[in-house]
Amino acid sequence: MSINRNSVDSLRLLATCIPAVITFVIVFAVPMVLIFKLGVSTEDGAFSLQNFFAIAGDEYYQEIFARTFKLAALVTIVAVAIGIFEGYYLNGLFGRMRMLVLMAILGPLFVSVVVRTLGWQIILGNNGPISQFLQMIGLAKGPADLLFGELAIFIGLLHMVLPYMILNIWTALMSYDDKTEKAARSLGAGSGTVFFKIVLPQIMPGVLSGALTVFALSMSAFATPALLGGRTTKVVATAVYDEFLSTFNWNLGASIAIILLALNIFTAFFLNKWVERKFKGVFA
Amino acid sequence: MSRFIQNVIHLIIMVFLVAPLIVVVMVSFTPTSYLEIPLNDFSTRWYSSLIANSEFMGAMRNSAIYAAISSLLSVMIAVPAAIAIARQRFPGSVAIRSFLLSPMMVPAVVLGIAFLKYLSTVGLSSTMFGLVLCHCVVITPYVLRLTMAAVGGINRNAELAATSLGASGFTVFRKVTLPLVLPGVISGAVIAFVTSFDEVTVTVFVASPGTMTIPVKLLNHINETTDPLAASASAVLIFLAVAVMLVVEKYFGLQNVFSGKVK
Repeated sequence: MSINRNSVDSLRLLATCIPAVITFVIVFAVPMVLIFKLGVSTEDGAFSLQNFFAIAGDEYYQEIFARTFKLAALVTIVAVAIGIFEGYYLNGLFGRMRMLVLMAILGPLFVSVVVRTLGWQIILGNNGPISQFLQMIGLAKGPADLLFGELAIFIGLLHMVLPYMILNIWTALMSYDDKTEKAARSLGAGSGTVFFKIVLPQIMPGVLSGALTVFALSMSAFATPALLGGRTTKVVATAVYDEFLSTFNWNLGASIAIILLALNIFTAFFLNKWVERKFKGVFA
Repeated sequence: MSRFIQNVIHLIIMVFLVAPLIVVVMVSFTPTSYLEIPLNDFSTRWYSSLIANSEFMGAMRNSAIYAAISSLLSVMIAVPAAIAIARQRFPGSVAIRSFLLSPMMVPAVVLGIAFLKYLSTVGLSSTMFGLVLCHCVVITPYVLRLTMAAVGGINRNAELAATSLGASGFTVFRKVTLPLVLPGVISGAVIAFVTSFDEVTVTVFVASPGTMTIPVKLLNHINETTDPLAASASAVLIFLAVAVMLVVEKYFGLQNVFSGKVK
């Protein structure tokens, strides 16, 4: 071991990273710097924070940010609930059955999100099965159109993020020790107590990492809201797209993107802190 | 919760997960010219028009080529770095690791506009080279993470034994280290290929009519019209995905491949 620690070896190890680091400096760091510069300047290139004030004071953008945040939070909460249930269920399956369920959960991840969203467009559209069912049982008079709105975006996003959530929780459950659960049961704890006092704290790291992934994905989702939100129900990512490719106000678009990035980082940070405080000891 | 209720909820979740994909496949066989689930009449006319559509077929070919090149490129730069980083700490290794994983933390839409601005600044906009470079940055974290996980699981005694028997550093790498990390590298490459092939949020900003990829083509098509051509093209993508998934499950195990993608 001590031979490996000399400086010649360190240099050799460092050298193997050079191609990746150089590529990333040129094609990742430089573009990120460019977009930050674009966000904090006026159209003629002078430094200015006017875009941020313009966004903060504009009701149109306030609504878009509020909607995006609300949808992402809702999707995360529902995904956590479903993820815990399904992760637990999957953990109790074995052999062929487990593989089949795993394929159904992971399958959507192999297909482009555009394809999945097209599926929801058909299902929620006015010729779709839900609309026909509602008409059949008499709940809707004409074709029921559930498309183009927050509900449609919510459903699409939930579908997009669910596999990640289930997988994170399932991974946490695989290293879960059921001896404490058995001990609690033998001491007379009910199912509810066992779940909230024993199971949940132990799988909390998985829930947290899943929630962070899912929240970040929902906050910045583009294709799903673009296809299911219609022309009026905008979210942050579609607003950025509009600024860049329709109205060509790149400075404003970059400012919106910077706010999105900052929001994501702050939420991740605070969610982390909150869960760590609440479930002290699990993260040791 | 009784076992019965649990099974019902589980079934609902399963239907929710696969319903959109099944519906797309069903609609792709409609004989009519709108997005509708055919009930008694089936036709492959939308598959014929897909094959006859040079834009869709070209986009599919482009996607396959770009995904192949960018994942190959990504494996070339990520695997050496991953082996070095996962092996031991050296000055800068923690910083390099965070730097190479950081594209995962940046929202795809932010990456997309950053690449758009960058490519137009350096004069690479609308080029295949530029698009492949962008994809390479997006997928490299996956290859890095899966390879690092594979390196972490290696028993170093095999390498030490080879060295003690007189093998040179390169021989040890080629004959011992590489075969041991290969499963990790291959699953990383598969995830990288699939991610690049399906990528839409970054690509929508950097693709041009000449470098159109199939997800972006589909997105634009669905936004303009609602004919079942989108359904047949989507169904083909679903069939391809199922094929890839079956191969992955057979040779590597699905859960292993994705263990690096979650978190």
